[in-house]
Parts: sequence; structure tokens; C-alpha cells
Amino acid sequence: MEYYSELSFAVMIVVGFATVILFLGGLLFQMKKWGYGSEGYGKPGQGGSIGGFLKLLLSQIFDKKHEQGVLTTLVMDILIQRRILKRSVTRWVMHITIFWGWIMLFVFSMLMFVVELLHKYGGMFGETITEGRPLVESFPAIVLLNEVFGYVLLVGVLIAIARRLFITEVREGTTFYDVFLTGGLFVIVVTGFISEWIRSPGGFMGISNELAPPAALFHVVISLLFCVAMIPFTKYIHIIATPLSILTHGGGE
Amino acid sequence: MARNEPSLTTERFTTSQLLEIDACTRCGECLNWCPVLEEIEEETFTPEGREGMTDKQKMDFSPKNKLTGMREMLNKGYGLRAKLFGPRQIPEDDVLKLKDEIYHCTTCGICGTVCEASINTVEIWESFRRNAVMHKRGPYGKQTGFVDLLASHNVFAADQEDRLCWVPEDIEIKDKAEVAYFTGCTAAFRMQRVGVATTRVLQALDIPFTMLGPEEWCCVSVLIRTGQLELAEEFVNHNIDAMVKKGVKTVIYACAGCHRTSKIDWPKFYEGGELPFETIAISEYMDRLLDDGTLSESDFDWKNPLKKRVTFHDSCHTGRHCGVYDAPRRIYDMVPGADFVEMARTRELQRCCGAGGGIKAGVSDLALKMAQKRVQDAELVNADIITCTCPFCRRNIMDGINAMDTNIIFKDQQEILAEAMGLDLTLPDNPYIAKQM
Repeated sequence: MEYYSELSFAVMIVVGFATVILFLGGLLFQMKKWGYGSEGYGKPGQGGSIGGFLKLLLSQIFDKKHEQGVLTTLVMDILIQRRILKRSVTRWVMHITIFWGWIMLFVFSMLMFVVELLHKYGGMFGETITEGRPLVESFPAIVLLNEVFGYVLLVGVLIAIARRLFITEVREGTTFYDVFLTGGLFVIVVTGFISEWIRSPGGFMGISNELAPPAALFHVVISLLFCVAMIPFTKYIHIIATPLSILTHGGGE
Repeated sequence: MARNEPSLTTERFTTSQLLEIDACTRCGECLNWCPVLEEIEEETFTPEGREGMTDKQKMDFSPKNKLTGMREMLNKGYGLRAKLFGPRQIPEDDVLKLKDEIYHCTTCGICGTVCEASINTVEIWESFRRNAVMHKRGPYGKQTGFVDLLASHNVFAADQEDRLCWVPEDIEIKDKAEVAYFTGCTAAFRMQRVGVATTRVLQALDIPFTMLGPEEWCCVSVLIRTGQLELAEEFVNHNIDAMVKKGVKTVIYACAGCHRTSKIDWPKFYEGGELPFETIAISEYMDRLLDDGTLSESDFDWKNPLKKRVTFHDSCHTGRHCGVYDAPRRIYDMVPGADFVEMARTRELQRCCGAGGGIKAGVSDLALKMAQKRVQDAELVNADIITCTCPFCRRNIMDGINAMDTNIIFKDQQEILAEAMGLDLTLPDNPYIAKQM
């Protein structure tokens, strides 16, 4: 069984484009908001200039006064997240698993989507890469890695939920802004596993495998909407704003 | 307020700060460190008009929730909905509530130090405060008095001609020199012993120096910390021009507040941008002279071993804000007989004494409680003396000591140094003797 049926493929394309438009539109809007700020202390605001914001951002990221290079900051403070590790191992495990789980699932999903496109519209090339076999069977490594990083993401999300449920201080400070992010990720990762499990010949827990395509479609649609399209409008914005903040300050412990 | 103007505008915020407000992941690390939140949660201090707060309401004083409050208000004015339908008006009481919460902060900067998103929180609080003053919502409490006091060019409304009235006759102040000692208002008028100790030590070490005297105006720390910037540019440029006229290349400070303000804030107001001289703590200067061989330990000519257990309180301004940690410790290590001991929280994770950010003037009971907490830190390591490089910390910690049943005493770093070197710290007769703290 392929990832997408005829109908779901069409829906996927529409949702995919809508997602990209929403994401880019939202991001531009956010940058415009940031562009209302001034270029420097005491200077007049820039009137929502996206160009002004980007110019300033780049000059700050590559500021020669930073004690470490941009590459070091990128690796140590963004990809490895040592600032979190220094403060709390538990929170680091939570965040690093969510971060890498999310990133890798996004990458693999995009890869599979490209394969789907090639399979459908790639003519000879599409036939060649799948050798006439079902897509899933053609790329077992990607499927396996997809599952592995699904679990990685699940671990992180479960730690996040547990923190918000069982640590009084965290629970009392939780707002809808936080719940939307954690809850959204939880729904996505759970629907991802379910849609994967019911793909097996016998289905899963009484759910027929005939429901696999719509289940996969549901999972993909909410993933795109929650995890990509909504980034600029919700707490997910920190996926963009936090690395930029760290880069502009030159990182470091 | 104009109908279409956002309730909280972006005035005074930089593009980076607006980005940083969105960068907060609400991880909650700042909750573990904020000294103001600690007092509020323990109910040793209750903000005015906030009696009977629930635990959740108390968290509105956390850095995390302050950033969230700002983000929500800014989004109501500049978010997508605001662009489509116009800014959503926020009840003025809500803005004032957030303003009060942001003024309940010593700008100690520990939230920024531990922030996983690397947010420069202090600069954001100060931008918000400036914005609040521009919209006639700030400052807070008695902080409004700073502007009037500074009509006299110092925070004590003293006569500027008395700026050097405390300097002993045998101290030689050069008319022009490469090194200048910027005294600060507190050492000049209320803690003259610190000034005497500093000048005595400099002279004993054969370091020629100049001072601005009546031409030394307040560094404007109190204005910048509380968002009242009207006089800042004039004062900053006056001080810098006066230094340039004296041919100064290095300005040294025995006041952490003046040091921080000169190093970090003055360039923002100086017409020429980068300052035409370097600004360093006196401990940094001595550290450099020891490193380059200009000074050796034998030059200190120790006469009186201290024979006391000493603990060092890193002031927020010299420590977290300017990154100076080792140089002051090197001084204590040299003092004979000093049994130096560190408190549990030191260096970049030090606990603020509560004096800064306008809190001493605006919310003095909070400042006192925080000072007592710091004295307790010193008691836990059985210290006899708490020492520091900040006259403002000194004043607050001494208030804390006086309010407690403790044998600990406070001494400024320069006092310890001067006493160990056997230097005379007698104050010359002057009009401010009775006002010494």
C-alpha cells in the first residue's frame, strides 16, 4: 500500500501548498512585526521594514565582537543545545529529542513526498527507483528511520507532558500557549504511529488496513498544519526565533 | 491615546528585542533563579496592592511571564488580527499591572544568564521601562525623584563644588593624566571612606591619576535603569568631554554601577559612539599592572594582616554585566591573613543583593529582604566580612546587616586593601561627615 491514494494525493498537494503559503506569509508577517523595532538603542523604529530587520539580523549574527564563530554557535548552542544541558539534563533530553525527532521526521517526510512525486510524475525514473514495488518496500531504511525518530519524538513529548502534569511549578505556569505546542506534537506523533501500524496486513487493534490511507492523510494534514503552517502564529515560533536570538548574541554557555 | 494606536507600542524596543520576546520558550529556568520572585513566593515580600495573590498570580513577577505579557500585548497591537481589523485595545489597568511587575526587578540579569534562548532580558526590561515613561506610566514610586535630584548633577542634590571635599590634603590629584578615577556620587558624598581608600591605594602604588571634581556629573545609572532618559545624553557627553580634556585614556571605577553604566550605556548616548577611552574596574586595572610587571605584590607593602574570614559578593554590574570575576578575587588572595571563602552562589550565578534597578528607591522593603538573604548566604560560610566593589551593594547589604542579629560586617574591597596596607582612612572634615553611611 502506498502512502497516498489518488484522492489523498490531491488533497496532500493542496494542503502542502496551503501550508507553504501560510508558513511563508506568517513568517513575513512576523518579520514585519520585528521590523517595527529600532536599529539600535534609542533610534527610531523602522516602521515594520522586513529588509531592515534582515539586514540588522545578519550584521548581528556575523558581528566580529562575538567570542565564538557562527559555526560553533550553530553546532554547540543550536544543534547540541548546550545552554539547556548546562541547566537541566532532563529538560535537555526532552528538548533534544523533540528537536531532532521533529527535524528528522520532517526531513524524511519530505523525502517520501519527493519519492511519491517522482513515482507519480517521474516517468521512467519513477519506475526505476521503485522497481515496480510498493513504495514502502522500496525504501525500508527511510521507513525504519521514520519509525525510530517517531519514537525519539514521542519520548520528548512524553517528558514534556509529564513535566507539565507532575511538576507543580511547571503545571501552575502552564498556559494554552504551552499546551497548544505540547498537545499538538502529542496528537501528531500518536496519529503517526497509528496510521503506520494499521498499514500492516491485519490492521491494528481491530482497525482495518483499508483505513490506512485516510489515517495517513489525517496525520499528514495535521502535521503540516500544526508543525509547519502554524509555526509563525503560535509558540512554535520559537523554532525560528530562539536560534536567531542565540545567533545574534553569539551563543556561548 | 489615539484610537488606532496599540496599547503597548514598540517604541524604544530594538528589532532584536522584539525577536527575543518571541524567542522565550517558557522553559521556566528563570523561575529557579529570579531573586525577586523568590521573595514573593516565600511571602517575605508582597508587592503593593497585590495582597492575597495565588501561587499562579505570584508567577506574573517571573521573567518568563513578563515576557509573555509583553508578547501578548505587542501581538494585540501588531499581530495579524491587528493588521486586519486594527489594534485590540488593552485595558489600561492591565498595562499598568505589567508595568508594575517589570519595575519589580533589580535588573540583576540572572534571568538572562540562565536563559536557554540567550535573551538579553535586562535590556528588554529597560526598553519597556523607557516606553512606560514615554507613555506616562512609569517610573515607579520614589524613582520619580531622580530627575529633580539630578538638577544638581548628582543624586544627593549636593553642591557639585564639594565633589572633592573628602580628598585628604596629601593626595595628589593630577591636572591631567592617562588614568582617571571616576568616584561616583555615593563615594563622593555618602561613602567617602571608599573614596579615601581608593585614592590612598592609588597613591601608595605610585599610580598617577586625575579626577574630574566638580566636572564629574552623575553617571546616570539611576535614570537609565528606571527609563528616565531625558538628561542622559547631556550628562554622558559632559563626562566624556571632561575626560577627553584631561587627556584620559583609562577610566577606573571603584563603583560597579558607574562602571557598568560607563562601559555599556554611555556608548549608546555618546555622540561619537565608541568611547575615546577604556572603562575598567579598579581591580581589573591592578590585575593588568600585576600581569605586565608594572606592579608586583611587594609594592603593596602589607602592614596589617586581616585575620578574618572574608567572602566576596560579586556585584551584578561588575560581574554578570561586565564579566569581571577573577580580578577582584586576585586582590583578596594577595591580602595577608585573609581567609577567603566563596558563598554558595557566586560569579555568574551570584544572588543579587537587591539594591539595583531602582528597587532601593522604588521598593525599599523588597531591597531590604533581598539584602538579608545575601547576608544569610555569608553566614552559611561563617564569614566575618562581606566585601564587594559596589557602594550601592554596600549600602543595601549594610541595611540588611543592621536589620539582622548578626556579627558580620561589610567592607569595600578598597577599604580592605587600604587597611591591610596600613593607610590612613581618616576623612578630612567636610560638610557630609554626618551623612556617611
